[in-house]
Amino acid sequence: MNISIEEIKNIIEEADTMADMDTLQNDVALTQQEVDSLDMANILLLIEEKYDVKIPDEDMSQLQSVDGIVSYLSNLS
Amino acid sequence: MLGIENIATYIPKNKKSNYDLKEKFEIDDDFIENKIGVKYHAIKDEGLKSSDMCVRAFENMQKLANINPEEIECCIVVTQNPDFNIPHTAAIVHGKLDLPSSCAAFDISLGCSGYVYGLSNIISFMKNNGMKKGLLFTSDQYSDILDEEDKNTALLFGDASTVTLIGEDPTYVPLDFSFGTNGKEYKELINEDTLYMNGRAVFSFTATTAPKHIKALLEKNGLSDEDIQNYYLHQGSKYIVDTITKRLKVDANKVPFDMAEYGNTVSSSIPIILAKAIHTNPKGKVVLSAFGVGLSWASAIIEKIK
Repeated sequence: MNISIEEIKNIIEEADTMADMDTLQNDVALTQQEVDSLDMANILLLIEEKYDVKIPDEDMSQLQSVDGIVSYLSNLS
Repeated sequence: MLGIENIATYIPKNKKSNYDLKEKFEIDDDFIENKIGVKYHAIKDEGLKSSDMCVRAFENMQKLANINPEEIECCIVVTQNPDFNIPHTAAIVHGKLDLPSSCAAFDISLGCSGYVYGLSNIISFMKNNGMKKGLLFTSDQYSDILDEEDKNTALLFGDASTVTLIGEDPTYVPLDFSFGTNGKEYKELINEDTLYMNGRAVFSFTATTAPKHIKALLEKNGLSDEDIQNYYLHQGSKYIVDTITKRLKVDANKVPFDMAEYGNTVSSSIPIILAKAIHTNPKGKVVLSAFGVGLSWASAIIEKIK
C-alpha cells in the first residue's frame, strides 16, 4: 500500500485533535504532541475506514508516530 | 395507546471528583471536561443494592405522580448488577414496593442499550396482555465492580437508577424501534472479577454503528433530520457523543450532553435526559439511541404528543 505522510496528517487533522499540525514531528509519538488516547482511537478508526484495513490492538505499538503509521500501512499487502 | 406517562430518577448525592484523579491518571482539565466529559461520578451509599436504588427512584416518582401500587400490573428491572443471581431483582422490587400478586415482574439483563430494549419490551408485553399500568426500572451500580486503578473505566461510570411509568395517558409514544447485536465482540466490555473495557474497540464499534443505525431507522420511517427535535444518545462519554453527532451531520444543539455531574450511568443515561425533557420540551419526535455492552445497540423514535 502506497501511503504518503500528507495523507496521514490529513487524517490527524480530520480527527480534530489538539496537535499543532504546523509543528507536528513525524518521528515523535503523537501522544507526546497533544494527541490523547481517545484521539488515537479515532485516528486509527479513520485510517481503518479510509484504507479498508483492520488494525489489531497488538499492532498499536507500531502506529505511535506519523512515520510509524506510514511504515505500518506501507508494509501491508 | 400505551406510552411514557412520567419518568423519575435517583442520582446519589455523594459524588467523586475526577479532578482529584488528575495526577494519578496523568490527565488535565481539558481531558476531563472536553474528552470524557465527566467531572464527577455519582456514588451510591455503601451497601445499597440495585433494588434499593429502584425504590429510591420510585419514591421520587411518587413526588411527581400519585401512583397507587395496587394498579401496577407489570414491573421490569433493567440491570446487570442484580441484588443476587437468584432471584431476579424485579421480584425484590415488587416486594419492597408492595405491588399486587397479580403483577408480572421480571428482569432484563442489558447494559447501555437496556432502556430502549426495555421500553419496547414493557409496551409490547403490556399491550399483548391487556395491561394498563407498568413500571420500567433501570438500575446499575458500577461503583461495586470498578477497578479504581483502571483509567478506561474509573473516570467514566456513575451510579443511578430511573423509573418510567407506562400507561394509557402518555406524554411520549413510541413510533418505531430497531435493535442490533455483535456477540462476537462480547469480551470487549465485560465484568469477570472487575469491569474491563477495551476503550478503542468500544469507541470504534459505537462510532461506526450508531450513526448508521439511526440513519437507517429514520429512512425506514420516511423521516429526515428536519423531522427530529432532539437526539437523546446514550451518554458513553463526551467524545463519543460528539463523534456520533459529527458523523450524523446534525446540529450539535439537537444532541444534549448531560453526564458531566454524574457520569456514565449505563441504562439510566437516556431516561435521565428524558426525565428533564418530558416536562419542558414542546411536542415533537425524538430519537433515542444506545450502544454498549454485548456488544448491543438499540434505537427508537418516540413522539411527545402533549
